[in-house]
Amino acid sequence: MDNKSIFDAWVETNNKLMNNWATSTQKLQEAVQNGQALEKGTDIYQEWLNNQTEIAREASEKNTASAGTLFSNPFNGSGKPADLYNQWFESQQNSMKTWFDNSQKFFAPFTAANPNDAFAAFRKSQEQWMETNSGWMNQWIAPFKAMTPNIGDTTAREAYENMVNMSNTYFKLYEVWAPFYKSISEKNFTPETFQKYFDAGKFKDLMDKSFEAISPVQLKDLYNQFSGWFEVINNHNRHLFQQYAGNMPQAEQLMPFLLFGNDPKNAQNNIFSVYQRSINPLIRLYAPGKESELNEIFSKQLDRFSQYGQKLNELQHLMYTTGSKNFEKFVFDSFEESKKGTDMSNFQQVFQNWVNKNESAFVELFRTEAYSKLQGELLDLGLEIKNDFEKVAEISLQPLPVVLRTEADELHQTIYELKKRVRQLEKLVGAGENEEEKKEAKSSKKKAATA
Amino acid sequence: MANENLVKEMAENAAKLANGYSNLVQVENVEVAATPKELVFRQEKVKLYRYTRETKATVKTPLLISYALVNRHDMLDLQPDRSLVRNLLGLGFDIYIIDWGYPTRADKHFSLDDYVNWFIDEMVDFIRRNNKVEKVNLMGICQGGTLSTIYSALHPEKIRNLVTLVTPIDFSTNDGLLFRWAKDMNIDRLVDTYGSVPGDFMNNGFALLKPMMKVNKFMGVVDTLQDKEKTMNFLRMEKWINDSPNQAGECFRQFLKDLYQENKLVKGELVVGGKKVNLENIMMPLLNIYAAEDHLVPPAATIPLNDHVGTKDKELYKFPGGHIGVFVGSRTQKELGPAIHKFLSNRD
Repeated sequence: MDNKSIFDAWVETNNKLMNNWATSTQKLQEAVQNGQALEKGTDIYQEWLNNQTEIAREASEKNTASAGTLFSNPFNGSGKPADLYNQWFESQQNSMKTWFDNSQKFFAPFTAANPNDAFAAFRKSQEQWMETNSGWMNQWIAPFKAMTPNIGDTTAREAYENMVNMSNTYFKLYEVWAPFYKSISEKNFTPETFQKYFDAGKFKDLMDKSFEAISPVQLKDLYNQFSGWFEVINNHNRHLFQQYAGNMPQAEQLMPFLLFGNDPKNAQNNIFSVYQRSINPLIRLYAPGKESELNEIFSKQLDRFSQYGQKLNELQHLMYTTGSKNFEKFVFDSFEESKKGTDMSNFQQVFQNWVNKNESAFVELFRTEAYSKLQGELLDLGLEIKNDFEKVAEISLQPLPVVLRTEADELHQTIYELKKRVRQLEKLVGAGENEEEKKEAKSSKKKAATA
Repeated sequence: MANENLVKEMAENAAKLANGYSNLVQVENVEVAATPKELVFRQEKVKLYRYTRETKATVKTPLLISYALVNRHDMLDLQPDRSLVRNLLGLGFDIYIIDWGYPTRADKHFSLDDYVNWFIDEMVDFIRRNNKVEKVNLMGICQGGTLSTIYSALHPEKIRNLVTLVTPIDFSTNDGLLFRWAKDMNIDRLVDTYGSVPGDFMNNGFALLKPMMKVNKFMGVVDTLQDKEKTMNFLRMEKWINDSPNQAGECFRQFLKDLYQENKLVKGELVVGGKKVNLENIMMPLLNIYAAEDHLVPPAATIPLNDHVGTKDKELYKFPGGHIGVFVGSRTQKELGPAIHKFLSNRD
């Protein structure tokens, strides 16, 4: 069984699962509309459950049958696809279990109460299903993500990764859009509906997914990086001392004959003291006398972090406000379109429409002076922070036998200037040679004329 | 019911992704710029290539192509059926191209003067010696066009014809976002911090110019993943987009400050290598090609070149489409190459 058929089987299985879900939902809706929810609900549930079990059994059999051939498949001799497929299947079985559990809750109201209550509960359950649906959507994407490392070519791998990630944006929009669509298609959409259904948290997720690749560095990440870095330095410093101190008694036992003095703990006279003196600059990561300079940088850093955070918030506020205003307009426009008879059930078209409108809205924002200035300020602050990091790194690395960046920069400058000078001299020599050649040519002509 | 539709779409999407995966996993190497060429000259990291011809060139004057320092010249030869270079070779040109290389922090001192009066000048001189000609045709693309324009103004005696493609000259416009943003950036801090400005920094800026493009293209490409040829076309373009060299700091500093921020070139105030750049010195014939829907270098930045040069023999060529479409669109293959050929062969 090759990869293509594995994934065909997967798609087939998922299609069957979803069709089964869709069919039972339709049957249930009909039953509710005909006032037979209570009577038929249990049967519909049982039928759905049986179908799910059958689909699961079939898929499992295929999986077992294909596992052997997969391992010997020359296309991917590592056996990775089989592992992946098994992982995928396991995750699908888990999600199926979640489905079973949820569907039990979903259909529970129909086994009791009156049909009217059941109808209300059915609506509520649908909303609940939508909630779990998002988890299921992630489940859908997960195996694709896991497959990415198998793509050898970097460009192809990154492209595939992006395709999978963009599917995520697609589903995120669906999550935000779904309640409005429901309301629009039921023709009961009002401005209040927008306020009621607009989920700011989900919308923020959508924005973050959409701008994943281009959003500025998050303050939190930057701060974590900052504090993590200092922790590493401090730990390194401390551990070196600890390691050194910890080794002393052991070394004393192992090498007593190497001691210069009788007392191994006599710091002035033993090999450890010599060793300590020689590595002292290495273990004192902060160069002596630089503490106040470092403190000054740290205090400036904190100040800049706070300014950076403030500016970043302003920028994000601009982005989220633009995005949500655009989304609001998009929903209201869609409602107007729907009233004119435009079909909104094709989500791909809805998505494309939203993308296009978003593009225009953001380009308009980016054109403004406010955005441009803010972006410039944020960049400037970010660069200042980076500069400070580098200063701290230089100070910390000073005692170590490494070439520092400023030293390398100076060296590069010298090399550059020398190269320029050599080139100028070459030009001068070249020009001189040309002049000589011209003179020689002239005198040869003269001589020839005289002769 | 919308949910059912979504489920169908998801199933379809999954099938496409899965089948696409089978194609992508078989991709061993995304090859671009496959037209044969030979390294003929080198200065520092900057290389000069000459494209291999099977027949003798019919256009006597050799053509030197100077691409932008941002991104790579591979765009001109993305694949055999989308190659301006291949097209021009077919039309009888003897083509040289400058490969600017990949500057690192060590190259941060290379200035605008070095790029114009050192690298381009050495390349031009090499071709003049090699082809035994007094002058060459110079074709500059985007930022490479600005460098070529400056060079032609400083060394007019070495250039027979100047061709500029999507070239920024008048930076006073705010039509393009880059032009707007550059005015609010602390360029000194950027260069002093990075040394050589990272290609990723530039690419992130370009991505913001069309903020939803990434979402759009990666959602769209899933539909064509089963088509190997289309997938490879897409991947070649992706490879080119992601291949973004760093910018040598000092050159970047002067380019951004003197041009983007102060618009010194059209004001006649730009000084390169101690000499004022006077666009009126451009007395050789000029073909200025711009893209009508260019979002990176808007027509407002390109068109004014023709108003500032000294030559009377100048043409403005409007090409429908965007900044990248000029090089890879199907129309390019039919129209652009022949238009360049017509202009240059008439002035050979």
